[in-house]
Amino acid sequence: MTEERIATNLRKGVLEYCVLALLSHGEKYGLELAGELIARELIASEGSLYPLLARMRENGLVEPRWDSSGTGRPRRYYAITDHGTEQLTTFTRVWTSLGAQVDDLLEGSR
Amino acid sequence: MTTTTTGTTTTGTTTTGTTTTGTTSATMTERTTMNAITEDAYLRDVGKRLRALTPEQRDAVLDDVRAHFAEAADAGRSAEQAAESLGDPAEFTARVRAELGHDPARVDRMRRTLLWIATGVAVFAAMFAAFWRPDDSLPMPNSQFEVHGFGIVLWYLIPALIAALPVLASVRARAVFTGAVAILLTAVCLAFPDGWVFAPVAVLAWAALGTPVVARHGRPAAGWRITIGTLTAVPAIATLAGALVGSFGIDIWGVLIVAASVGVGVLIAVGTPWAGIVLAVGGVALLIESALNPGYLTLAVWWAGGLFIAVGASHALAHSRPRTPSRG
Repeated sequence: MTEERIATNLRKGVLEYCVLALLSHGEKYGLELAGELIARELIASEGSLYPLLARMRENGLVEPRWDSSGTGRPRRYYAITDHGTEQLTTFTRVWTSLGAQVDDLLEGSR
Repeated sequence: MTTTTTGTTTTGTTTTGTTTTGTTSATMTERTTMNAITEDAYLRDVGKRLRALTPEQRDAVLDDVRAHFAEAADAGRSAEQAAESLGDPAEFTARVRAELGHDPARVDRMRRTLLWIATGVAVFAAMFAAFWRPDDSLPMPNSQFEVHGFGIVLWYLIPALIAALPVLASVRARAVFTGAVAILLTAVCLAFPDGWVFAPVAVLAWAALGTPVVARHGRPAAGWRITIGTLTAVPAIATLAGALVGSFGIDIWGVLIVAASVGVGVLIAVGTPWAGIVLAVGGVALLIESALNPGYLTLAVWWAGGLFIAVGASHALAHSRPRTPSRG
């Protein structure tokens, strides 16, 4: 398996939790959120974010709201919900334990 | 496209300040118009391709796209660049549908699977009608095959052929073919004296038509689950009522089967996917039992078996997990 393939498979499993983690620091609008994910090489383009947000919205993990206080056209801000926060807490616990186990195995195999 | 036009016009009109301001204003308007056209075209295309979603889901996605164009414009990007970053509308909407469990291939898979099950049941029904079902109107040995020979087997296999026909149709035409086949098989059940044998096949054809429609937005609504969970318990309740009024006796096995089917009905009503598989397998067992040991309750057991297969398979398929979408 190529490096890119391994990374793609791993990203698939963690992407929605990365979005939750970013939103846990405060609400963000789509382009802002996409920019951070692209900078971290978690998604390739903005076209990947909105379909994911659609599912997360459907599952009650995030909630959008329109904000027309700025000078331009209204912005659509996304915020993490209580359910989203719970899911992020669970993921953090799983990731910490799993990550430690994988690190340990990788250390041992060197 | 817009950038080239704007650049050319501005370069060609630098002689007077007034003209430059006027032309710049004109090109700004032109750019805004072009942006609006691009955005509208993208939104229209996306809206059209997401017709299978619920209106709320579609509106929410369109709001995301609208907001994306607005945010991109605030960041100084053109509408073309904003559209480009979302990707081709076909690809973008395919991702949305996949994330929301609206995989068109899943809907078609559901229909094809139910049609193949209907075909299998039709073949078994043909064997039952031709070889095993005792017909008292015939001289001994009183099976259709013994009296009429192999020709009658082929005759009874026609419903199986009809049930399999939509599988050969194109994906687009499959729903229409399935509807036509469901009507035709219902007519076969009503028109021929032996037609009742094929009632489970007709029910499965209707399930092949309806289940993918009900489950096209993902898992069906609670009302659907509760209805089919109740349907599952109907044969059990009828059996119990028959035993209580003394129409027939019921042994301990009968009581256990009644209790099990009510239990499976409850599991279906709460949306447990594997309960559908259990029910369908129970339905197959009932068909085999009634075909190999025909008695005076054969008709009722045969129909209950067919109902269980149709309801169980539909429930399991409608609650199957969508395939994991790929993300770029």
